[in-house]
Amino acid sequence: MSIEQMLRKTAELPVPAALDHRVRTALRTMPFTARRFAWPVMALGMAVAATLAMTTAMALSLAAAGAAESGVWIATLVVVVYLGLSSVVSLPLLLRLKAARPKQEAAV
Amino acid sequence: MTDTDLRLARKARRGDRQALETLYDRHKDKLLGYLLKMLGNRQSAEDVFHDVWIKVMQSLAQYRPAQGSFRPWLFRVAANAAVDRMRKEKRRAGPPLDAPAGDETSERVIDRVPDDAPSPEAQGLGSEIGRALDQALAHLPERQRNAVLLRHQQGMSYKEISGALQVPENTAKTLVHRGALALRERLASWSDDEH
Repeated sequence: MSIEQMLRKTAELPVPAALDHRVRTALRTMPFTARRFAWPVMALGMAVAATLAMTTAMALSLAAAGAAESGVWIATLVVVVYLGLSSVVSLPLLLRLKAARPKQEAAV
Repeated sequence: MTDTDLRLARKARRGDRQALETLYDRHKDKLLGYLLKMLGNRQSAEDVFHDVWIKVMQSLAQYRPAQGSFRPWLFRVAANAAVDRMRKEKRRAGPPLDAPAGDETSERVIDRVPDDAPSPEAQGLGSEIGRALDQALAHLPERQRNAVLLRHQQGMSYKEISGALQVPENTAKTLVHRGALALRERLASWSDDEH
């Protein structure tokens, strides 16, 4: 018999009933540790939102002030690019935060 | 359709206890088999087994399915718990009287004498060969033993081993190779492997 065969024969060991019961009870009754609220993620989200608001305001004021047509186009382009980039950054973060929120657990 | 481990782990992360229990059912026997050979002691293996599942529950939120499948992550938790246990037992036992300074092997062997290991017959090996295997494993350095067990006992790929032991894939290959070589040397009279 090769070493690999010897080891493979020991791969599984049935869990004794008492231990199995102890672990299952823990799995059914212990509270899940919910993911801690991610403050850095929240801060990043707020920073993205604030910068976006400032950029939009700048673009609007440029347009309102009747700046040269090219100026308005540049501002619009900045807003569009910024919107695209910020959604690429913030959407996955927001989705992850949403997914991390544990569901209301039914009574065990 | 049967849920994959990954899907179950995602559900469990969101607080689905049924999914966690299904994962437990899938991996429990293999995990206990691994812990027993890693620790060489049934009582320790069962204690660590229980602790591992508690730890899994507590740290599922940190598990990132995108970084790898569930099994290597589970065995990483188990390997860390087993190593912690061995170190704790080593501290409790104090330095071995007959170990020369710097002789790690002697310390390890004394720490994990396979005293109350399960009957090897129950695991499909004859009693003598089972004991010889336990003793040979006891002589392996901790990391090699871990790598050899994950590879040859649990059938993991090198990529999975590298994930479980948190070492580069090449290091995992080296650990497995050296460990298996040492095992073959010690079990030369039992094994029909060629040298």
